[in-house]
Amino acid sequence: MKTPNNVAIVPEKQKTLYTVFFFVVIGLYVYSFIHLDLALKSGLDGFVKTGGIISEMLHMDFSEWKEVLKAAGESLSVAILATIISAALAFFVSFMAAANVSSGILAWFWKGLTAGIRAVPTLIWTLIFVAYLGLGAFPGVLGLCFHSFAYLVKAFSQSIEEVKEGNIEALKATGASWPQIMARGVIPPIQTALISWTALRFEFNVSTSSILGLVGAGGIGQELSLVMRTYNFSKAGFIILVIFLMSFGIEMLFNRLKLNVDKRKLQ
Amino acid sequence: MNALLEVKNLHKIYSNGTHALRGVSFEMKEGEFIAIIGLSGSGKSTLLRCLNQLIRQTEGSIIFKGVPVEKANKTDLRRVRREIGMIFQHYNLIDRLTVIQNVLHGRLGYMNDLQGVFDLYSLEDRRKALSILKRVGLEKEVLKRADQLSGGQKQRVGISRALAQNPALILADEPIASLDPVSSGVVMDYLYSICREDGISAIVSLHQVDFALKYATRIIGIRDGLIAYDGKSQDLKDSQLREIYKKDLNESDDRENEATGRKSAIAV
Amino acid sequence: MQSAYIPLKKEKSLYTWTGVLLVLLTTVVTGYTTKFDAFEAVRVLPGIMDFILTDFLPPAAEAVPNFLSSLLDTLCMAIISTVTGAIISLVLALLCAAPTTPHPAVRVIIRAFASCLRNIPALAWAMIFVPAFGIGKTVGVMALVLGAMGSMIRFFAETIEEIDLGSIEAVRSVGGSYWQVLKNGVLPQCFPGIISWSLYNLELDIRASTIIGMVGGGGIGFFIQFTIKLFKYRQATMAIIAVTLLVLLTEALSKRIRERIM
Repeated sequence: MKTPNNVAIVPEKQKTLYTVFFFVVIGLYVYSFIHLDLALKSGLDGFVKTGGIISEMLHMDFSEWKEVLKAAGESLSVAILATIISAALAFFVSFMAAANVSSGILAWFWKGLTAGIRAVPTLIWTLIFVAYLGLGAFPGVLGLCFHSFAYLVKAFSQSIEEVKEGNIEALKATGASWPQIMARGVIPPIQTALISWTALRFEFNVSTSSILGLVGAGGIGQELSLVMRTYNFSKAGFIILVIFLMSFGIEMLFNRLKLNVDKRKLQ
Repeated sequence: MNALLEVKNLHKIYSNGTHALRGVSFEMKEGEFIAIIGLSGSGKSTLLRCLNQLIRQTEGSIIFKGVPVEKANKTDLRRVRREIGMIFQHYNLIDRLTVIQNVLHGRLGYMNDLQGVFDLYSLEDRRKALSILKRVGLEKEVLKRADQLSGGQKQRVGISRALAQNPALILADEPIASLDPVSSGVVMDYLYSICREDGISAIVSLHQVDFALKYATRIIGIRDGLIAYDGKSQDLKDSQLREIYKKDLNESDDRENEATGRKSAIAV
Repeated sequence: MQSAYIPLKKEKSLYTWTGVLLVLLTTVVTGYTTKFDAFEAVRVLPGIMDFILTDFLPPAAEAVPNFLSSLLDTLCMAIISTVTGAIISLVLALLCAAPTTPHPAVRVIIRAFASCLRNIPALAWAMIFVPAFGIGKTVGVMALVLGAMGSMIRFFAETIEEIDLGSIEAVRSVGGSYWQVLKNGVLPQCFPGIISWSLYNLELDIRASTIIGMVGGGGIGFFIQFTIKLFKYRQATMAIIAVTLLVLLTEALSKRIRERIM
């Protein structure tokens, strides 16, 4: 048997592509390195200090746990509410954004609009809303909604576009109206996908909601920025623990519920 | 007696330039069971889909029960479509849903949006769906998911869905192309006998000439987007069949022999 | 068929309706805790639109030189973090994945580590590093690397675990060493997936690096936060537009490359 010793890591025909790719990547890397002029000399000193900080954090200060949990609850609520609202809105809009069930112009418009909204990070949207509405959870919800909405429209419309054309044809042929075709022919096959996308986005929203407070949108992020400002690491340690547990908890929950989302299918 | 269907000078040119239909004209009376035969790509599928406007023709008119189909507005088109049931080669069932849910989709054309969107089928409709399923021998699979059925069973569900529409006309686009010979026979038997019993007219496109000859009263042969033969099945001559199935000079004659060979076998 | 009710499917519709009810209930509860007033949201929307249209537009093109270098920093930070993160993650993933791990204990440790990285946002890491390393791009890069590793380790490990074990056995059976098994059996199969996911992470890292400046990590985030706080909205818009273009460009590029690879 010919040994697989000659198996290349990349397929033969794509060899040039990969080589070019790697050279480009290495080039960019080196350039970036030089450009950023990272202060590597301060490295060792910094690591020692980090060690100190982390050990201080591990001596967690639980004293204000009520406040912290309340803030965590607020962040969680923000995430939940934003996910629900954006999913509901995205659900309806996605039918306009999917090319196979909507008109070309409408689809193009919604896809373009949501791509634009998505390109602006959630935190920046939140900043803008805080500037207008002042501090608090409310602008946080709006900021998160905006971005989630755009993301879910893309995800949902992708699922819609994957529905077999035959389904739609068959229902058209029976004389069904457009809403009936959508409800009976398009939604049933994609039900699970829609829920999976929403769950995936929810996980992300929980993480993000914890840092929205850094720009003044309340919740546990605000708590964190307050204690960090005073270099109170032991309190910060507890807060970070809570953030971790929230995120981890959701992850475990979803693993249990076995919501199968192929993350590799993202865009 | 007025014709059920009148097709006049139908042309269809696809966006990639293919001239699929080059002036097809024929009339159909109530009660006929027409088989359309021809090579793949000859225009059979295009013709069928123009009839219920799943594809819009480039030129020509189609008049169904006195209504010019291509000029119909949305509401009228729905009304036309609900009277025309369609059966597809790949069944086109909604996999996740149950058999009875799929059959009831045939009633959507008669229901308003709200009822249709929320599955609010009347008891009357449900009873009707059950009796149709009984007729095609699927009463035991009523609550099974559509993707758990065999090919032949799926097509029978497809037939049931079309029947649920109470149609005047059924269009079948290569209904048995994906089935084995035994299931094909079963499906065609059901289709034929039910259409006969209920007085439903049918246009069935097939590439198996033996089936076409067995069931159809009238055969329309299509070649290159034009009608090459239109008449009774017993009048179809060997030479005409060869014309319909003749391929270009450099291609093999297998197809042609197959078609003519079968005919001779049955003609005995 | 004598019964008056004919069901359409096997499961009871009760589940669906309970689900819907639960969602509605959750909405109300969370609305209360966040003091989210739906009516106010609708009322406020035109105000926000007005705000954006009058104060944020037109974008101040003259501000571009102010943030151009920050923008470049942002891009470079993202590149470095993604590449560094990918390399480290690949090594760790190889140690963590079932077929290639040297020892089960190593698996557990790395998985726990990855979990920590994944569930603590990059911005939080940045906040930890700033007191130690000072404000600047170094902190930004480190935080981004950790954030990137969080998602990459698990994905790479999963990709490795999903490969066809047959080729590994084939190389082993002819006496291949651990490294040869790696090169000939494992890597060829997971490479496209790894490159693809790394490119996807580049998109995420660009977004992350634009905001990491808000906690002292360098890059354009600081400029945006700073200009908004000082009411210099039009300058902020210009920067935001630049960020948007950067993100969209990266997305488009990444998409093209990923299509060619997969």
